[in-house]
Amino acid sequence: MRSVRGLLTTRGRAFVGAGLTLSLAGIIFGFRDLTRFGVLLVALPYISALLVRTRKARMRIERHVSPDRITVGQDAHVALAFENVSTTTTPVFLAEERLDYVLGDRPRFIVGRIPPGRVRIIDYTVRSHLRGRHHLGPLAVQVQDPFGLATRNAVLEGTADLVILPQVHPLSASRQPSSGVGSEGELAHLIALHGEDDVTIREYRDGDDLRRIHWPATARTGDLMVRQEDRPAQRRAVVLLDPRPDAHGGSGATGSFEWAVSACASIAAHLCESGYAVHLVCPETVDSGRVADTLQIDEILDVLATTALRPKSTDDLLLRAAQGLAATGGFVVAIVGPRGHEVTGRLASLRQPGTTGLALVLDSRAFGQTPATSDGGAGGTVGPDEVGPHVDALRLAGWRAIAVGRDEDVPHAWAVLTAATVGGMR
Amino acid sequence: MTRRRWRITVLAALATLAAVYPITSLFTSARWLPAAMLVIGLTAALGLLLRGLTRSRLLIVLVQLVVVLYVVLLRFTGETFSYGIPTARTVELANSLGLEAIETIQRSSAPAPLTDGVAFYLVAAVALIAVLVDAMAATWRAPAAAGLPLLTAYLITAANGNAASAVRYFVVPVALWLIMLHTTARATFGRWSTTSVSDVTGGESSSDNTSAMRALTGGAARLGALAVVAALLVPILVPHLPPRYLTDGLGRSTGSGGVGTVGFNDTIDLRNSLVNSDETAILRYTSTGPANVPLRALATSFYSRGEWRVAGRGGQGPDRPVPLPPQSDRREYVMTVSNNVLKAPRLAAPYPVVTPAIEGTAFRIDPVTRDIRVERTVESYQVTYADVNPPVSKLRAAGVPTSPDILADDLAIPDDAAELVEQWSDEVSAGATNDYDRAVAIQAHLRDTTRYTYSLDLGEAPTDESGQQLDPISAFQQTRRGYCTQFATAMIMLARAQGIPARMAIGFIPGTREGSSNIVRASDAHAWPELYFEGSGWLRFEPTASRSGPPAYSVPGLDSPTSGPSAPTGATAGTATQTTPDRRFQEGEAGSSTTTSWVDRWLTGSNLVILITVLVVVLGTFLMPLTAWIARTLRRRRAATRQDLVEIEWDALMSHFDDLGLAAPPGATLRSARERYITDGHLDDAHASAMRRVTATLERARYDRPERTTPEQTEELHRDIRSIRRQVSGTRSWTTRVRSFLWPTEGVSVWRGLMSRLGRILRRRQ
Repeated sequence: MRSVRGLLTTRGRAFVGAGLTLSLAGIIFGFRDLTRFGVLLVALPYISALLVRTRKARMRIERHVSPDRITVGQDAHVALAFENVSTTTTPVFLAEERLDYVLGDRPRFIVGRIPPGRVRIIDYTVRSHLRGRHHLGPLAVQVQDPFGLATRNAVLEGTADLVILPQVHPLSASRQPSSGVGSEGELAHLIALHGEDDVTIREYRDGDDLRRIHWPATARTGDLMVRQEDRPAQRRAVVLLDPRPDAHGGSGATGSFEWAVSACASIAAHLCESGYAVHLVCPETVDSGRVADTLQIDEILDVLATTALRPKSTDDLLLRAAQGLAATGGFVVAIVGPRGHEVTGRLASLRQPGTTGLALVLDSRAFGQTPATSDGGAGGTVGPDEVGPHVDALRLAGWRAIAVGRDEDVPHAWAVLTAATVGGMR
Repeated sequence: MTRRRWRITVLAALATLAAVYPITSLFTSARWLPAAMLVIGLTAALGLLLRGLTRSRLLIVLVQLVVVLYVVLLRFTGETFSYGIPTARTVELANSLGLEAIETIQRSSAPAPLTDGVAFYLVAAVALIAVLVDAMAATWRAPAAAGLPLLTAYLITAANGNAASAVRYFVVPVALWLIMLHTTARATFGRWSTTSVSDVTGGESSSDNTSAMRALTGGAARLGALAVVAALLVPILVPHLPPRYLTDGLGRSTGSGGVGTVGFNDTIDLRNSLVNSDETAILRYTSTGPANVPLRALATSFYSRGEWRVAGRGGQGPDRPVPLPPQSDRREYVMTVSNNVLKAPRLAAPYPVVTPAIEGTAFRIDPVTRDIRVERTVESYQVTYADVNPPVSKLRAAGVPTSPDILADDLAIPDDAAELVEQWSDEVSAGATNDYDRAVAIQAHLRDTTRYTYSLDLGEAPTDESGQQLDPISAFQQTRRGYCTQFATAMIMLARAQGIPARMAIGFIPGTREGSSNIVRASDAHAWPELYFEGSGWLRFEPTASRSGPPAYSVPGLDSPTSGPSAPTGATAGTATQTTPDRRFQEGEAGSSTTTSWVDRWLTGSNLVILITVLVVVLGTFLMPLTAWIARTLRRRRAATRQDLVEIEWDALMSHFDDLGLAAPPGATLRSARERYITDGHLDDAHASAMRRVTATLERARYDRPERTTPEQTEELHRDIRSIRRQVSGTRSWTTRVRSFLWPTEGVSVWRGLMSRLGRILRRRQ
């Protein structure tokens, strides 16, 4: 009985209390009319609670998200399918899908009775203004009696994920960012890939250079074999994202980190389109050891969807990883916050002579207070520095660097940055 | 649904109508019903209109009340209005209507006549209920609460009717109320959904919400029906105590009585007492005389509007008791009564009483009727009474009645039946030459069982040509059926028509013999006429054949007394000696009435019950604050050191903050809790520093050497805490403040602890 009492709502409890009083008064004073009301008031909530409690049904819940990856601001349709796998019809219940709060209002729906074996589908739309991997579900279910006297709450476990990709801005493709100064036309930096297995052997055809005959193979096969040398050169770019909390300002969708991620994604997408092998240097890729791999744009966006600030200082690791990549050639795009001149100095040294270094230095202070600094927190007042000296330091090291403020959009910043190639760098 | 909530409004109006409709069974006429319907309809319409116009709920209710009460006043006291405005005369009229209503309700039993006063107050009550129901159900959207006024309306019938009312009177309002409940629950369901559902495997993809709602409503119907059936069946199976009535109303079958006393109906309509199957004994008596003398509780001469009433005798009548008939015509006996529960001021005793011996209460004897009225019910008493048995010859020779005892009322015949009574009387008593013979003829006529039938069921009241209900006397003459009241009334009127003063006596027949004593029960209630004969005084007659035998003197053939010992018992007192004790009692009553004062009067019966109820309610309301206060005081008294006192103060403050919704984070240190209180409590600078002082004192009490906590500091702490409490509660809404006062965690936790301890003990027992 105790569990039944737990199911009663406040109204139900009030009914039981009033009903007991009335019944008692009716019995003592001998009024059957009073007792009738008392019994009615006690019976209603208890019958309700019993019905609510005994109605158990098993259900299978599936969620289908289409499309399963969306960018910020896009709509995704979720189809929530209830399949009744028990042998009884399910009662009418109220359901609320628990979503991450960034996905907006939790959709609520009434699910009518589902006969055994039938499927009922509920559609709802989600949209997010924040990138990330968001959970759909679990589903909170409330079975209620028709008079609002008893409720049973349950949570139907099972979740689905929805990846919200960072926003990708189309960037102007008029000019290759890494074309060298003074070169004629557009000449991209090509990096010879040392140590890579770049040689294939094929049969000799007329006109082949005799010097290219591969004698060991010829001896082995008995036919003339020649070395075919491709030119395994690739345009390579390293995109570096600054994950230090104290280098960023603002919070949420308007924070400088989100701007940086969005810029990162846009630039990476732009470079991939242009045929670059893009290496992404951010804490997630460093952790998973994928820094050295050339990532496809989808993979990059996936990583960027979930990347987050790293409170622990990992700049050392990141810079070392970037160093390794940059040393083999290719140009570097760094999206960094102004924090620590020593770090900026090491960043500046990433650019190899003869290659291009592009830097978007976030004017983090313009993005507002970080949660870390407003906290008045443990580490004293650490926050981003003034942006100017950092830009200057990078420029002195031969980078093309600009400071970006809060109101600047990514394409414009990119245009300004790449336009600097025309005027030459200082 | 719109803000006007027409669906709920209509349901509420219907439910109100259904709840008040059973009241029709309490009154002989349903004239009030159209007015009540008008009032209910008006309330609903006003509610709809006003909810569309304004959002102020109080305003809506106020306007509804004013308009509806105005309409009720206009309908019933419209003639006193000047230029459509109620005047002082309206108040007077309403007051007199009220008095009339109270009189009717207290004096009659269901079905009662519908006087203007009753109709007025009935419609006013219906108006009030209608406004309340509409306000709760529609304006405040809490139909569950609307059940309360509906229950009140229903209980008007239940409390005044004498049996469980008909099933349909219960089912219809309950069903409407449940529909109301379901409608709001459904509305919350409807508001829940933000998306739509589609059914894939089923062919039809009709709007699923509608079908879900339909399933819900079906469930509601089944659930409601189940509960209603349970509500109808369970009370039948559960044994109930006999009905008790706490206040005066139409239903109390035995007058108003406090718990434990069985009252006796003041009104002369004895039907309720007669049909009462209650086996509770009203009294038990032994008598030295024959056990055929009825016990009289009261007598009255005043007949009005078809019923007998106890009239206030505004100074008229003699101030001295009538002398008893001469000693030769009477014998005196002593009756000892025990286990008396007849409600004060009535006392049952045979007529006429010579000497009452009643201890434990003041009493007086009515100078005219010789009724004994007691201040409060006594369990046992003794009366010496006279068994009057005058010789027939003396009665035949009795002259014209000229005693000051005889009032105008004793000869009054109601106008509406006067003609019929005169004619009937002349017919019955034709041939008799003197008053006594006429009286005997009338008695014999009425005792003729072939002509008149004794029945508690009066059947449908006959009507005259114009469709009006006949007055009770004419009705009895026509239907020839009735019970003692009808027989006695008829005899009185027929005697009065012949010029014999006659009055109504109410009391009990001698009851049943059990062992050595007789037991009188409520069902032994009886009414009989008393006729006045010069020289012998008021004499009892018995026109109701099936209830009791006639007294010896009223049957001319039985001239010698048939009952009782032939020798008069000793200690007979003359007229002169009898007046003396009466006088003394009267004076004693006058003296004691000043000493017992109003407290005594108010501490009886229903007032006591009401007082106790109020006390219990007040105590119940303030139970938690009281508990908290007691718990705190106990702790304070048990505190050994000053440090303990400081801790107690701090605990009280913390739990008070908790009640105000300002909880310290779990596991917080003293300082972090302080910061939380200062920021979340929005303490100003003065209070923030007071808060810091408090925590500093507390820290000192906890961690410093004990002597460092000085009395001044604890004083200051006390002051600080009080001002902080005041400041923080000032920032909260009044509902929070009231809740924190009436339901403080400090008090609640004491009860919770008690409960869980009790539960543990019980579990261990098993």
